[in-house]
Amino acid sequence: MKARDRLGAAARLGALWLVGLAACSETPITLPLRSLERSGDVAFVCTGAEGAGRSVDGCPGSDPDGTERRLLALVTQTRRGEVAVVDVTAGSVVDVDRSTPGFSFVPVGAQPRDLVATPGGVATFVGVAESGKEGIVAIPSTCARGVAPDLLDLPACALPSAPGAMTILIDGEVAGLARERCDAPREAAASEPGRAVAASGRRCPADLALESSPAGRRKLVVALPELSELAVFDAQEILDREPGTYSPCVPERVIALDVALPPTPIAQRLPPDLAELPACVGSSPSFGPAPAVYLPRPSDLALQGDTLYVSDLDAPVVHLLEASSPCELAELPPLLPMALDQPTRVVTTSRVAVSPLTSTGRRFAYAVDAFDGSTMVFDVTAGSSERTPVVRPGAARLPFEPADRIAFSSRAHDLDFALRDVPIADPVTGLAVVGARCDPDPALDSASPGARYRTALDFTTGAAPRKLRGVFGFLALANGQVAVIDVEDFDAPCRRPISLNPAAEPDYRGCAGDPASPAFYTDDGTDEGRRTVSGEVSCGVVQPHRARTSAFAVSSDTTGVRAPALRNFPRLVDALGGALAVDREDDEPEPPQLLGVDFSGGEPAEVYVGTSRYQRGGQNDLVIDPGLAERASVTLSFIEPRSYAPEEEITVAYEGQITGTRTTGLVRADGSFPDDARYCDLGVQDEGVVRGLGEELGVAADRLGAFAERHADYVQLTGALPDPEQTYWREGVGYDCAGAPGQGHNACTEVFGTADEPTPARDLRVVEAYRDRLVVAPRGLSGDEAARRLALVECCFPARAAYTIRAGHQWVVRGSASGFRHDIAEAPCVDGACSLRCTRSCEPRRKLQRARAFEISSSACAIPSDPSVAPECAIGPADAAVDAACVVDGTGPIDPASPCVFENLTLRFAVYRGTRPSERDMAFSFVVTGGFAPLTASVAGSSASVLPESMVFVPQLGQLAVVDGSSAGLSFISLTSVTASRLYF
Amino acid sequence: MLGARPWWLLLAAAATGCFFPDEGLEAPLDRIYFPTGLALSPAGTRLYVASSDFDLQFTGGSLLALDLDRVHRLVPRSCEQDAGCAGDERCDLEPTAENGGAPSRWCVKRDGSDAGRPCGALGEQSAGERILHPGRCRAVDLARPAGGGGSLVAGGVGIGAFASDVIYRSRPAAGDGSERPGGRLFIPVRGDATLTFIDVDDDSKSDSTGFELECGQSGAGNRCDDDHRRGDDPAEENTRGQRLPPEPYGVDATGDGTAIVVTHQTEGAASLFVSDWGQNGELGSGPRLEFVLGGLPSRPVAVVAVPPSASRGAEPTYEPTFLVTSRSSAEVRLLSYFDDAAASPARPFLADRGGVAITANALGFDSRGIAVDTSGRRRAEAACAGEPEGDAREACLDEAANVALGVFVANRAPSSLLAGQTRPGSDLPRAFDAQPLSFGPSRVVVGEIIDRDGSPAVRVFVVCFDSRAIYVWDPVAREIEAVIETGRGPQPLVVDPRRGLGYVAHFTDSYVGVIDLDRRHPSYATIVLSVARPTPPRSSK
Repeated sequence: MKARDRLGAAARLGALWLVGLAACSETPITLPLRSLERSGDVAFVCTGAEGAGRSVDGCPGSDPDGTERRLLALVTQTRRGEVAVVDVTAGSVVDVDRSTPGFSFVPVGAQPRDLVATPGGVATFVGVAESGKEGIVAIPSTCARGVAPDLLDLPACALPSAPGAMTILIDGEVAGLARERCDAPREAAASEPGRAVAASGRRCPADLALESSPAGRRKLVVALPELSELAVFDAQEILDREPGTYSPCVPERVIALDVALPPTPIAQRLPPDLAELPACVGSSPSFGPAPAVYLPRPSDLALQGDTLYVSDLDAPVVHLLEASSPCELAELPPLLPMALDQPTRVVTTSRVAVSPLTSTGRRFAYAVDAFDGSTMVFDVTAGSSERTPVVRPGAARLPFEPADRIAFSSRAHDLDFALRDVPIADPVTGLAVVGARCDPDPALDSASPGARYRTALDFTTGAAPRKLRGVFGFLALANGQVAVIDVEDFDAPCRRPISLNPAAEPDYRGCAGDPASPAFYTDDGTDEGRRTVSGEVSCGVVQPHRARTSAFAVSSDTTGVRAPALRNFPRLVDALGGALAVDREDDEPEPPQLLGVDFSGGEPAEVYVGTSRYQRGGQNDLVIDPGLAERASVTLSFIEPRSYAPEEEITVAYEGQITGTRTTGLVRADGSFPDDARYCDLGVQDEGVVRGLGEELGVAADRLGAFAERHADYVQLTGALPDPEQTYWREGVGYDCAGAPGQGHNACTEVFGTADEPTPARDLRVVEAYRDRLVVAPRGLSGDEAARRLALVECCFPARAAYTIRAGHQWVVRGSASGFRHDIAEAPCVDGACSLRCTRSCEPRRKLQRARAFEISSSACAIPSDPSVAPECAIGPADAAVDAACVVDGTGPIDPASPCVFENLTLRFAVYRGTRPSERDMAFSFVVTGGFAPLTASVAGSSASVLPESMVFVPQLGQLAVVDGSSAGLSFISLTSVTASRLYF
Repeated sequence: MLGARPWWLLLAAAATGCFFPDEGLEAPLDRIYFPTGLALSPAGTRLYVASSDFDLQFTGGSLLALDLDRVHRLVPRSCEQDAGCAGDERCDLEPTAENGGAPSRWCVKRDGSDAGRPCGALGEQSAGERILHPGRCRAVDLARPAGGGGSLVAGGVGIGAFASDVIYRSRPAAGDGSERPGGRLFIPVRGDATLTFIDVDDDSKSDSTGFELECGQSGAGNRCDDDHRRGDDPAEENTRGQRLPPEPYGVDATGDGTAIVVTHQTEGAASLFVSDWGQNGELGSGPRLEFVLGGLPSRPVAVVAVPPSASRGAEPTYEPTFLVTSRSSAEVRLLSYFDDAAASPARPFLADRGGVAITANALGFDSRGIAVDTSGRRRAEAACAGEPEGDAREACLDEAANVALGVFVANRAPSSLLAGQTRPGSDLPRAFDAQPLSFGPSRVVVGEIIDRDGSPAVRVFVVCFDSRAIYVWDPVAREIEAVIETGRGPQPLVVDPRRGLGYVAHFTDSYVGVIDLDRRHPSYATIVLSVARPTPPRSSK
């Protein structure tokens, strides 16, 4: 080889080496291999040496010989027809057959459904629902790991139909004697270990007699949804079956579930703030004819004490069974799911769970509404006669969820409860009492446990959102979040403002019924002292059976903005977006003003802007006098922090749009305007509704008609005229619109303008509003003139046209998250006849759902004779000819009790007319932040693609186990941090 | 003769595998090739298979009409005893040499060369073959099926490449209420951005059209003519100057086939065709593109027409509605069709009626197929037949109209079936629940199986393309009842409730699987026959 060739070869080799080096130096990408897929349900067993069962309460722990016990999670794999085994103690997924590539699990047959483990860890039973092969497969714990069982190694029996939920009940001993069967005599030998067929001589032995706690025979209760039954089987009898056989299961008892509805419907008990509800009968939608007969379809089982709760997917009941003996299960009067807002809907349930006892001896059952995944609360305290869902007080301020439901944007797939405490030992006695409540009384010794649970001044210790002390519910939501529900928070007394309100009527912080003293929950009883409570803005932070908050409702330099607050003071823009501001230095007309108002209880107006607190007359003065204010403001209510979205932009627009643009408007010469737009749901106010408003505002009777015409909503046609080239203008009706032959299009353009430059002639006020149509009339016209105009509208807009609906001479409040809240509903049907007319709802829960404000004008403001001179008034002049309401004769802030003050769920303000007329689409805008955010934990740690299927509280770990139906496998949520702690996939 | 083209150009073309526009292989009309659409004739005697020619091996796709009566004769019949079989057959219940020790529980011949063999003349697949193409028996050759009788293809025409689906609509009754023969197939074709329509016979009617497929076909490939491709001639079809946007994908039509909506999977648009069915004995001029609705969430894919209630559909002001899913947006959108009859000239259009957010799972976007279940409402309406005519029956029908429709969406974020219901008085669905599935849910079909008691029962079928499975979901139990293991790339699915069979076309290997949907059979939810020999894609060979 020539030197030149050798050099070339060396160069090529060198280049190759460099490329290789670059490639090898890249960081290898590690792909997590997922072994669990489409998981369904989980059961936990505790095992000792050789897989011998141990009481689940014995894990974590060790056997007497020092062998570490293993806590195993058995997770159904619904796609593969297997049960995966997760060694929670070792922290790994178990491959039961290492000789096969990939993870191998225990085969059980296609479509595994529920599974349940015996309390002593000897065996787990799995229901399988493969069509034609429905049955129960038992997995002895001796074969749960490291043994590579085959389906033929497992005892099983066949069922007549697909199994549903399962549970284990104990047929207890009587006088120390047990019975092998329900109908067998009791004898001492019945509980002797070693007697069972499966006790020995098997590849996977299983002897339930080795389980000593609780004592008694294990019975497997299986729901058979298609047969509307519960079946009771002897667990050992199934284990004793010859592996590889599949003969029918032999039930010891079969309970045909009943649907015992009361002869007359039972109404839900209403709290005092909803007492008016029955008298206000709205036209709730019909969901179609109810079935004549209900066939039960049990969907879930929950055992609490001696009562078995059974949710039902096809009947409006939650069955209750007396379960002190599985051999004598007996149905009790059921719970009656129903929906307060949809009384005609048949409510069925998909899941049920029952709480532990609270410190006051109360117990609750939560059941998931199968229709929308919301959760109902039932009071099942011993002795309670309530069988319908609890209707919680304060619903009027909570528009985001029904009064009798716990609801999130995503539906609940499963639920459970936990009683948890982190007790502090008494320094004197050394005893830690579970359930000791936090006590904010400043007179209490600070060393006492009640005082030591208080929130620290720096918020780092003590009562806090993530410190769970009490009884809590947990909902596994379909979006991968686990939401926390307050049932009983031992620290609730310390989560509140420092101010007390002994009165029965809540103040603007939602506090009421407080002790008469002290005046403040501070060490010295003054508002300057060191607080003994969390100092949050509202007394409504912790409420039973509501979502727990994720943060202190406090806005401060320490916590940031966590309570409702403005991001900035409101700003005003004109229709083109140009900024407008009050400037008292010049002689120009002033724009309208949006200003806060003192609270109705006399408290001075206040609002947080960022973390700064502004209060009328305070250190940061909130000026609400229209004659003095130089910036806009509003006040925010703290009564119910859950009224607030986490963050939203609010606009208050003059003659703002009620609806978006619709493209299907059709005007007729007779004033009819048919479009199936559900106008009542949109909140359209017609003249009739406005008349009623006028009466409330004190408008004189002889001025109501004019008031209604002026302030009724109106349709604004926004679309273009038909194209001038269309035959309609040459040969059709459009040829001589406006009596101008051949000039129809031009005539229409002259009157109505174009889509880009519309004229007021396109505005048609709403005379009558119905669900599916409007009756309209030209704004500002009447009689023959109005009729001619309508005829022209029909002629110029012959086909469906684009339109929007606006408020008439009112300011429209709209939130980016909350939308346009209103109190308009369809009029109730009378004797079966439904007018579909839109009217104001009498529902007490809609009283505060308001989104319109009238301008306040002043009769004391004189209009100069020289029109070029702007009047110098704090409040703009009233026009006696048209202003019939909200006219004041002064210049100062309006009376806080005036009906012209706008107040809804969250906002409180007044709009004062400026000396410059208000124009359509002038708008104030501001952002409200620090709204309520529920406390949730996410299982979407390793993947955003999650879909939780089931969840169970594991008291031995103090954690929630969440099973994901997608690819996240098994997750554990720590209740110490309320975050995901471990993931197995 | 090769014509006047330079020889070097021809050589270059041959070397690169390119074809001149007027040359190339016509799509074969005796085989299935990357099927993307299936439709069933009303009486179930014809299965229409749209092939897409996905790898452009040919100059276009095809639409074949398969004779299902003959296919059905080849489907194994389940039995429990000999009495359930024909006289020359017995029930295969015991392990034998002929059944390889695995009884099929099918009727098998008693005598002859195929005696005792579960698959008869077809023969059985090996274990390895069953992994790729599930089913005990080998595939049926379309052109030379076992048992003779000639090709199973009753008719075939050539269409453009990349057909994405096919739907069937029967010709509506005449103005006097009399029946008119025939029906029509509508096929979105992505290759040339058109909607192809083909007139076909209607086997449920007493009168026949006298033809199998009619689309002006001619030439070696029996190609449909230009007049049967719509959406590409604005001057002829509409007064808005609108042409069909690219990538037409999903298609559905009102029950009478008057309004047809097509989605465009790369645009935020849906198109409206209005179909002319002609007068009297005429076929009519076919569908015309009337309107393109823009401003929809990006990448709409599936569309389904919402059937009206009996009471609402009879109202003169009734506006048909459609639900549309999107790959990019976590919502389902409602569109309304307006015939604009009040205008002169009438210019039908679609209006966007808003949407409902999908919050039933973690992410909610990437929705694919959508289907509607009307069975609950239909039962309630049927119960009104017992009411006396007049107000009582009207009131009963009005109440029945409030029974919710089931709405089902195949969603991929994460892979799940979204099951929801419409609200009273609205066609917008709500209250979706999510059922986890394995990867790749694509199409959703609502159909009836034969239940254990022999009665029909509604099931929701979700085809998971990537994981080769069809989930059978029971909407009453709200559980997955079965998982049908399929071959590679299952895509379109139709259900024949009369026969208790389903047909799934396998896109990847270009064949149709016949599924047993009779719960009384041990072979329920399994593929019992494969029609057309599975052909792997050329690139995989």
